[in-house]
Amino acid sequence: MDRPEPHRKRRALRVRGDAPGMEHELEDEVRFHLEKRVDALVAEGWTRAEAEIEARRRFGDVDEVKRGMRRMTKRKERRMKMGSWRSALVQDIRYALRALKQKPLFTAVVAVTLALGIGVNTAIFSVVDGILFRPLPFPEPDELVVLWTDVTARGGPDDEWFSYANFRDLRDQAASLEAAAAWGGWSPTRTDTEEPQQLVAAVVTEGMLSEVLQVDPVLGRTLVSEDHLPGAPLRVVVSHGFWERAFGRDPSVLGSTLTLMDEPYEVVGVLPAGFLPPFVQDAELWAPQAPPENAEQARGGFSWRVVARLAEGATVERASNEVRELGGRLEEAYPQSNTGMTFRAVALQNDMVADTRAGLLVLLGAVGLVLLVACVNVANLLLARASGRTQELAVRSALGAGRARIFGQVLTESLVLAGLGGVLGIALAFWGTDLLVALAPEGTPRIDEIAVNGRVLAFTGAVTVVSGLLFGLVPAFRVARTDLHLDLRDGGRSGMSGSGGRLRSGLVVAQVALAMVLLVGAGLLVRSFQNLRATDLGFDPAGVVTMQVSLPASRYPDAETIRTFTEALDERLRAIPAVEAAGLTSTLPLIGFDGDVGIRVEGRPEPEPGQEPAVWFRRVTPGYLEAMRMSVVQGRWFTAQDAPDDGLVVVINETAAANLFPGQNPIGQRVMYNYNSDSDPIWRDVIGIARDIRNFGVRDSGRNALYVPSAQSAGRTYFPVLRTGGDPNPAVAAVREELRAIDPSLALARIETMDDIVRGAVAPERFVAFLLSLFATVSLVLAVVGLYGVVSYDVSTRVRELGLRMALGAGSGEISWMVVGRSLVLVATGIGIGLSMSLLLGGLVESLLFGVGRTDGPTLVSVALVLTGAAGVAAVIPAVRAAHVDPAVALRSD
Amino acid sequence: MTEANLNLIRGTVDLLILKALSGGERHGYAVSEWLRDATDGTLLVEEGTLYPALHRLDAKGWVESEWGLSDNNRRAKYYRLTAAGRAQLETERRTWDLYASAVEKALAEDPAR
Repeated sequence: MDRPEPHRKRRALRVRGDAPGMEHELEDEVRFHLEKRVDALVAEGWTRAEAEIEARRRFGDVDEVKRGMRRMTKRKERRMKMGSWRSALVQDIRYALRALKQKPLFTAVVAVTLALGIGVNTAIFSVVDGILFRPLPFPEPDELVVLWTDVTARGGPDDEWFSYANFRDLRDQAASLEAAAAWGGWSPTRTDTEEPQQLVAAVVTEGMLSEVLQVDPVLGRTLVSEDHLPGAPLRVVVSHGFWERAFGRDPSVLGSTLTLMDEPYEVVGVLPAGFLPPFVQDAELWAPQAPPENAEQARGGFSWRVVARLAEGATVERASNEVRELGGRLEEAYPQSNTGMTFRAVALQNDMVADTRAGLLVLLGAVGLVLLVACVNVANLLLARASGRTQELAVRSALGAGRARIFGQVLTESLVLAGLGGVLGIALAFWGTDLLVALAPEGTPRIDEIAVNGRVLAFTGAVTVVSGLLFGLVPAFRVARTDLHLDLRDGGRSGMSGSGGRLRSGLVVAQVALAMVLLVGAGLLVRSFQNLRATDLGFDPAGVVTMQVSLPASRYPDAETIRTFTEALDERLRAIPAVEAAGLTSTLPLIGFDGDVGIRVEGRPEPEPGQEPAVWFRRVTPGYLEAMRMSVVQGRWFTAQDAPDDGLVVVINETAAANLFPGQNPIGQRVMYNYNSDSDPIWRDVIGIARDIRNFGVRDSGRNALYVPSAQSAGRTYFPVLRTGGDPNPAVAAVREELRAIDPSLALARIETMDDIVRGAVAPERFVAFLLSLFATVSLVLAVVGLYGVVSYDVSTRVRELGLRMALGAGSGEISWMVVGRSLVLVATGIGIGLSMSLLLGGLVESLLFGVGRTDGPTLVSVALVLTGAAGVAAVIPAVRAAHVDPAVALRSD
Repeated sequence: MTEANLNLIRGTVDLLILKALSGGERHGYAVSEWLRDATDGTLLVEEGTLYPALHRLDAKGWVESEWGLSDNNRRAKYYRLTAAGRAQLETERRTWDLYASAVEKALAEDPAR
């Protein structure tokens, strides 16, 4: 056996794995083997020639062997490269941490700046993700669509609800829908409790829970076919929340009864906690709806909302096309009710968040800008720091660190800083997300699903790395490009002052421009919000409290019983001592639900089906006008004399007067509403014109409205409206007493002041305006800090020049102005760029604006003034310092 | 020899090389000689197949190599086990024992049972 003597071994120079060297080694290794084999064979008695052939035979395919060796050697090279890269990285990170520890103030400032930027991004993203991006909590949520009736062809909305007959025909005929179900609002009063309670409930047609939404109950079952048969026993499924609240999570709840509107309903199932009902998110009960008997007569109505599940392979677009086509066919078949009416499908997810989307995306864009400003700030700080440490880096360079190595080192430091900011930012985001959820306007969809989760953290991770690269690359390139050997020679003083200063100025200009964009956006939204708040609503919400009473059909079966109730309640309300004025109305302004009726004017040809004008309809008692402080511009309002047996009367609003009676006096004319259904086919006198009020939203104006005295038209939902002037609570307590005296089984629901209702109506605008202002302020502060950094650095590099100027007779005031002027020039440039960016980006917020254009002059001017002021503030300290330069010291300083 | 047999042998070549080097450093030729003697020439058919295997073990960090001078002053590449290689030898040996005894046990069983 061949054992080498250790002392004869020599360490060969490391041969790199480049092609010629590697080939040479392989060749040597193989040749050595073959020679040894030949020697051995010869020793056994083979001839040399035969031994050489035999050695090759035993070795096998030499080329094949070399190929294998080559592959393995390359693998080793790669591994070694990775290893050295990794150890360099570890070394860089260690070095970065040490360097950052040595400058705790710098590190803290950078980390806090980044934490702000990353934190607000994470918090806003968690909200946006929870509301807009995350799939809905249903099986195959992409298959769920909402259907709407589109009556734009007759000047109506494109999101009108459905009549049962139209829904049924679409459900039965649309091939692209696997299942569809209708949803009707229901506010039953529960009377088997100490106090009657009004509940938020829904009646649903067959398959809503099981086939469309496909929810699995946690207890019992959902609704089945038999439940929807006419005359089936009364059953309900309850929400998880209701189960907790009303039954204390009693596991034996199934089979117990709830008395709703005087009738016993059996509880057959409990839905899971995360269930997200479409349309009415706080619904707590679902009851089955049997196909209504008079569906065909009510084909022109709109009382159902429809959600459907797409058939396998169908798309929202295909479904929408199909229901539009079916709409055309129904229009032909039922011109009386369906003229000018078609249907459309929208993905449920888009439908739920449609109103929230624009505001959220603007906020997401805004926090992106805040982060950019923060990154620019950090880049600036790093540049300033880099120019202060060129000597240190020059030493490292002289010790053999290559350009790439120093580049990597500086970049690693930035990424470590970014990571630090990211960790702090996440902590901030947990808190910030809770705050956002608390601040979010009531009724924000999917608010319960908002959380900092894995997806959000992944987003934060990406944002952190991108930020690190963003603010790290500039200084890293600069440092690697600088001729470090020169710096070592001259003590690092010349450093990067020349072009480095220009770069830093450029960054500050960018910062000011970004801050300007945010300030302009915030300014526009704040002005919009102020405009909304200042809008004349047509009524005076201050000091008014409202509530709701619903009458069960079982005890209030006809107009007579209802009227007895409303008259008694109205009288008792007005007699309450603290009440200045009181009345009843069938619906309140700004609460989002309402109903319209078709109308025709006496003496005019009957309009084509679907062509009759629509008016929004409300029943009121005479006291409503005074309680709301509305006014009548012509004619008169209702009085107690407008009794059921007297002449039937209506009051219309100004818009209806202008639309229905252009150039005519409406007073004394006669109108008829609901004329194509069976109820109320009666002419009524127009006796007055009321001033328009904002009914649907503060932005909304100019829709036809019609008021009818409740004595002449019966309905089962009323909102008592009381003007108390002061504290509403005694009045509410008194109403409760009076209601109990009339009928102890009735519940008082939705007790709200009118002020709260108005506030709620502008809450989304306030939310966006408030947050955008907050973000704009943060970016302004960051920009001022950046500006201060650059201007004071500028002063410190120009000490000699300033000293010289002073020596030559410049006064300290002159010197100060020079410094302030420099700051102003930077800001003015930033304002110029920011202005053009604002004009360019203005379209993004346009849909949120109210009463103010995207190029609103006063906003732009005030923002420019704020920024100019900021330039002054940022320059104060450096200017004072410049003015105190001692020429003698300054000139000697080099 | 069939393809199946070859695969089996390839899997064990690493183990045998590690074993060959556990006695101290050797060049490739010495490994092949040891292998032939230790197995009575049954396993190693082509000596050349050792070399890619040696280089693979090198790439994995289980052996390290160095050029040196052999007897009669010829340049030869010597391989020796690293600490990781020694550990790997132990692991592979245990695996092999398990494998071999399992197969052996199975072959001893009566298939009709």
